[in-house]
Amino acid sequence: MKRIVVPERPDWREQAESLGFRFHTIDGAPYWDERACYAFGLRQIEDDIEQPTQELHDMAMALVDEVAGSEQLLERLAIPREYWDWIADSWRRGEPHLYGRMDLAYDGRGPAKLYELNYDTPTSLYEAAYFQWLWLEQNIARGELGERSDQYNRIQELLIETFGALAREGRIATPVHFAAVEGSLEDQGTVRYLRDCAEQAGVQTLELTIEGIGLSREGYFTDGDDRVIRTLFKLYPLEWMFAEEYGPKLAGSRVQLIEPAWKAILSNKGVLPLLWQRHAGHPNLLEAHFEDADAGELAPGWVRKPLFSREGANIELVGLDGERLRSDGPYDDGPTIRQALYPLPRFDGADGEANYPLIGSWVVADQAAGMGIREDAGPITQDTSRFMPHVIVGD
Amino acid sequence: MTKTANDTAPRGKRSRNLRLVLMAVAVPAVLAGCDDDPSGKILTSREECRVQTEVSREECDKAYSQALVEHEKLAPRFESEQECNQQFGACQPLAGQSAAAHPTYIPPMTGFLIGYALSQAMNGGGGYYRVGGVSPLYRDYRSGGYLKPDGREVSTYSGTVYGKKAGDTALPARAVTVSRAGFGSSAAARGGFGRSSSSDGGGRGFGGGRGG
Repeated sequence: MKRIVVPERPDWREQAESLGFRFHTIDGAPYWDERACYAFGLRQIEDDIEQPTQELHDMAMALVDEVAGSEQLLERLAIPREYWDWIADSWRRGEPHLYGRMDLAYDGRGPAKLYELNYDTPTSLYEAAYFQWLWLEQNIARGELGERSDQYNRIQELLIETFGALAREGRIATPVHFAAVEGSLEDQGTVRYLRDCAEQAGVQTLELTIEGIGLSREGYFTDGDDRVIRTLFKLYPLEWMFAEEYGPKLAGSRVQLIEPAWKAILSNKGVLPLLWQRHAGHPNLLEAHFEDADAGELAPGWVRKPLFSREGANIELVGLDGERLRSDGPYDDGPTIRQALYPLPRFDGADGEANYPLIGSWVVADQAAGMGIREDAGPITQDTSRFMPHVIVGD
Repeated sequence: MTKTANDTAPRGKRSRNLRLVLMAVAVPAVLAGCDDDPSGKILTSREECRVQTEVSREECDKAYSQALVEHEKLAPRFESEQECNQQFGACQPLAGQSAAAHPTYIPPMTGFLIGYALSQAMNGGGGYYRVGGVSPLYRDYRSGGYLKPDGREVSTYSGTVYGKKAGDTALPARAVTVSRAGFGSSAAARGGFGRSSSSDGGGRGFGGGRGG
């Protein structure tokens, strides 16, 4: 694994605009960054990323099966009691899921370590699945990268296949409604991309905003044209929906959610200590524990994370040297876990600046599917981090 | 390495030949089969709502308005006016696009499709079918056909079209909405989410908890 400099494609911004990638620059700061990329060997990808991703995913799914049937574990994950039956039912009925992303720390040697699962509302999808792929193809065509260069990336192909299979098997109703928060360019771009994949699979789709979802007298959710929403892809956290006005209407609405209700179990950082309890010492897991009220100060070499947090917010870590790092955020009001500190590797840039890459390893319909890398100038990956493409060169 | 060896080499770790159909500016108007199109009616203008007999006048007017909304969101996009005019004619620059981007051209909405389920019995509303879906349509001057925003041809003539789709029977297709905006308050309350143009750096959508 190396960080290498590759010339930027001169027209990539225009391309991004014309291909619906409107969030390549966010709040004036670069988000997509192709001034450098990460180069891997095939063995690193297959042995250290792809195979462990599949194994971790399978462990996570086995955990869902256990948690869905255990009131004690649902309680431990701070999932509201009134949703337990609905969640368990969604798991028992085998409601299909589409995708998830796990974040891995990896430096090119030794086992990758699981930071967390983002299995309910993962983003950075379009850029990983499509724009990163286009970057590689064009750089091969331009001769900047060798003809035998490759990329670990079948994400879009598997998304399309999955939508097609779900429709053929009658496991989703059509049209599928897709919803994101009003006014978020990034979330709407991600949802538009998923619609694109669905449409390519021959699935009819409609788009609306989370705020635009309505409720009928019978308790069905509706869109802006009074169509009943039967299958809803929502890029919106389940735990937020639980806490909102329509939350109690979810079960009675008979809406099919993607991601389904049972994903509430896997979008919760409480799965990290639960996985550790069941697979202590697993090379791809970091030691983790639930943090109880009497746990005391965070010791050197440990990280504190809220059960519910996003974008690297509200993380606190204490380095082995006792140095404390904290990220701000709005998630300071819930239970937390502690996870053993495993710092991100540092790859210095051409002018000596520090870069900390975090691997986002994608799973689509239960298959390890591909990878995207986000890089930050600091050791906590946050919403200001940049997306860097990757390439496979050699063995 | 010989060409033959190359041909039989492993396919690699990445997909081949990806494309976008909704997000791309230029939508290739591929005339694919349309066996999943709904039964319905192609109307070329709002005025035709007066002369059709399948759905009520009010539903038809509403369908037209909805098609216009969909048109703004989904109309085929082209990088050049000429390219757009070759296929559709009378193309206009997309309204409200940022000045930095190349202008994008879209064709006018030259019709709209009202889908309705033929298998559904006449309901109480005076012998009308229920509207099952609406799509703006674009007349391709090369083929003469009416295309949906994704480039699929619905029919080469206006009037009634037939498809096999009869809709999902598990839930009704439509229901009267009695309230709205019961989801979304957390995004607002958590601060910054959904404000992608904010300057405080907090406007990135909620994303997926990417942090480490």
